[in-house]
Amino acid sequence: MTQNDDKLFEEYTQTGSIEVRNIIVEKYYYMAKVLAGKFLNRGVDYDDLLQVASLALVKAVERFKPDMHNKFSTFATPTIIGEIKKYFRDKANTIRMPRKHYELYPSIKNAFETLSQVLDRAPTPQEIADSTGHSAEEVIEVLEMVRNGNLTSLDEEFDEEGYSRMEAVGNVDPDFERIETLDLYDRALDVLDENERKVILMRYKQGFSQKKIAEEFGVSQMYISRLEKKIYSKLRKKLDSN
Amino acid sequence: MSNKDIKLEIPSVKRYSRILRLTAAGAADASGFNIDVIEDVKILVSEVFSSIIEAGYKGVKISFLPNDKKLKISFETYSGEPVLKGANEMTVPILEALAGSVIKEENGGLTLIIE
Repeated sequence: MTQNDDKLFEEYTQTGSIEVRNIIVEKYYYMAKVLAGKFLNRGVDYDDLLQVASLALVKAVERFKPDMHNKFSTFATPTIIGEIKKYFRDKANTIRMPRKHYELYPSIKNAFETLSQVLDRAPTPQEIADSTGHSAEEVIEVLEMVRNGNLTSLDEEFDEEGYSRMEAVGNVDPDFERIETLDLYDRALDVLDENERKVILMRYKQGFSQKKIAEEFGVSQMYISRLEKKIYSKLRKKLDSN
Repeated sequence: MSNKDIKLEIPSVKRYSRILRLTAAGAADASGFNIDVIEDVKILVSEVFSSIIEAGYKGVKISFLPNDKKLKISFETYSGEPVLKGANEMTVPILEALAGSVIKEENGGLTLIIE
């Protein structure tokens, strides 16, 4: 930690100024990026991980006491990792690696067959990875699982008439979700101000990333991340009251 | 060391990190850990291997001792110099956050105990 950092933390401890806190957060934002990157390939998008890590970084800045703790990075790293792991625990019902591997298998198998023909030899894991967009490590793991387990492709025909397992899997009608979402949207949006509505529209209707929205508004991504948190909180209250 | 140790010697070649991660995942699996802990173990060994490469060491000797819900991983450089010499400011905090114990041995070695 530099002398300048010491001064910033001292000023923040004394004044509680949000501006100073934000300067510190921007300065250590690289930590959130690095640590979010460590938890990739576990079924959660990098943007979501970065958002969790960023909020944890803000918490760490708020809790850090320069006179009690040694270096900020030493203090903040376990805090950020703890929040990321908590996020994974909370999401444990929806994120399961084996399922992810099952999902990767068909594309890896297809790439394996195509590349084998094109190259006239068996492809390397890296070649399959380049072709599918997965990491070479995932390719090796999935192939290992297939060798050891009883993995069955959804494309495999399972009866004499040639139906594949995929055809037997039911689908949720996307219109149901659309109707529900629109209804929810209309009921909830009146609690948001104009900017908050814009952010939600850009994020979920236009599919913009936080970074892109921040560029549009001419503010930092951290600001959008915080604004989004505030919006969720407002919406949650509104929905709870309903 | 017990006769149940899995031993590995890896030259400091970045792309060999994958071999280390897969071996570590296998050892963690043999310890009965779930996928989340196995992923943590992969991060741990990657961190140490990165600092080995960063320090310019020729390579590292690693031993894994899987047990029931417990895994001991020991690192020692070929030259016997401190394993974490090339560590950056976040390496040790990451190791401490993900491993139950991080023991810097007097001979420069490093032992991680995950349980």
